[in-house]
Order: sequence, then structure tokens, then C-alpha cells
Amino acid sequence: MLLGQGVLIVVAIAWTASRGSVPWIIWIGALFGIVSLWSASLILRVDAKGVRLGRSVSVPWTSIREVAFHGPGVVAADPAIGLRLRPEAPLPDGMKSIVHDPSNPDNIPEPLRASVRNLDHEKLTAAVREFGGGVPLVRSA
Amino acid sequence: MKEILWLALIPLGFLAIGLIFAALGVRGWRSQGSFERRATARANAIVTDIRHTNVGSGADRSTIAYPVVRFTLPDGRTVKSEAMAVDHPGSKWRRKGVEAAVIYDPANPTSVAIEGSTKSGRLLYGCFTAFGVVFALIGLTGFVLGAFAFFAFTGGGP
Repeated sequence: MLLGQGVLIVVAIAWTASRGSVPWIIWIGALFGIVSLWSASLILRVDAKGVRLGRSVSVPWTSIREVAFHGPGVVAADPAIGLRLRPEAPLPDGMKSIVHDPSNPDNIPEPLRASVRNLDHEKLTAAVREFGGGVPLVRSA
Repeated sequence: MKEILWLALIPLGFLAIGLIFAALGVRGWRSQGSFERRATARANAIVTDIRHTNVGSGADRSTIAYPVVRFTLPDGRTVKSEAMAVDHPGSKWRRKGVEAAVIYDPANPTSVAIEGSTKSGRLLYGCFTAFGVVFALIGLTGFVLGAFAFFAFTGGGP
């Protein structure tokens, strides 16, 4: 998908260079490609503000009960990270809804999970320790 | 000749914009109706946050507010969700911490609306549809009259 959009961007640039003008349909495709590449350029950020999953979902540390690390093949082929929220946490930015089930408190809703290729567990541990203010990082089965 | 063809785009633009508005209005109306049929459960909720979305641009830019509500389901689960609501200055839910009655779909409890707000929503979508139809009719009339005038003056030829 991303490769196709990248190709469209290259086609638009090459077309402009060789012919001077580009059909609008190519520009629209290239624009979608740029937006998609921009969205895909951030998968996970752990900093002093909290944890950001992709470009949309952002959760402050005060809302996070624990950060779950799933090894490869547990919830996805690649390693994955999930956020378990405190019951009283407000609805995170970027999410429209969330259901908290007290009988299954360890369930992680899909928007609070991210599969990250080559996720470095040591770096993640260091970042959570540095910024998390005591929020634990747990390895989940 | 070219100028006349360009002029034909004006009524066609009206028609296109009108049809888009009418389609959005009908879609919203139907979706609201579908939600009202499914939303058979009621709960007392607390407004925990107000989220804002900017719509339009320039002088037409405005802000729509959505309440985030929290309520408990009969099985003990807690739902936090952006609720459908129509924004108007007198709305009680525009403050954090106020209580609001909500209706929701028991099969999908995150589909929730402030009770009573769906009627205003229907009115809004009805206005959208009416505006779109009027715009489309203006465009269509302009196009037909323009075509008649074109053929009357040119006899159909360039």
C-alpha cells in the first residue's frame, strides 16, 4: 500500500520534471500518498507527555495503569505494545469511545495497541522508566 | 463560444453543490433515524469533557462541540464515548461535570446520544436537504434556461 503511494509520488515528481505539468488525478494520488506516508512515519512515541500510538491516539502518563509488551507472534507477527488505562482515566485524545470492563481489566482495546516491527524492548524499558513516573512495563502473554 | 461554455459551469456548479448537500442531508437523516430505532436503552451519564471540531474555513469557520459522556451499563461495564449532540448555546451539556440523560444502542453501547438531541439533529439534516434541493433546483433551472437561450440565439451552431 505504502509502496504504491510512494510510487505515485515519484511518478508525479518525474512527470513534472519531464513534461512540466501533471494530470490532476496524479496529484490527488500523490497527495494521498504524502498523507499516508506522513501518518505511517510515526508508529510509537514514548516521551514525557505520555505514549503516542500512531498520529492520532495520545495517552498521558496519568491515564496509564501499565504498558504491556507482547513479544513477536503473541498478538501480531511483530512485537506489539498495548496500554492498560486506569479505570478513572478520561477518554484518550484520538479515540471516540472506550468500554471498561471491571471483570476483564487487562483487556486492551484495539486503538490502544500498536504492532511495531523491530521494537527494541530495552529501549522501550528505558523510555518507560525515564518518563513513566512509575508506570510499570509488563511482558504479556 | 468558449465563454458561453464556461458560463454553463455556474449553474452546473450550483446543481453539483446542491446535490452534495442534499445527499449529505438525506444520509444524515437516515443515519439518525437508524440510530433512533436502535437506541432503545437509556442511562444517566456525566459529561466528562467537551471536544471541539473546527468545520469550514475563513469567515465560515465554526466550531462544533461534542460532549464526552461516561455512564455505566447494567452489566457493570463503564462506557466513555463522544455523544451525538447538536450544539446550541443553550445546551445544558456544554459544561463538564453536568449530568445528562443519554440513549444508546444496547448492542453497541458506544453509539450514544444525549436524550432529546436527535430531534434537533433531524431538523439540522432536514435543513441541509432542503438547502441542497433548493440549490440544485436553482442550478438546474439556470442550466435549462441557459441552454434554451443558447439554442435560441445561435440556432444550435457555434
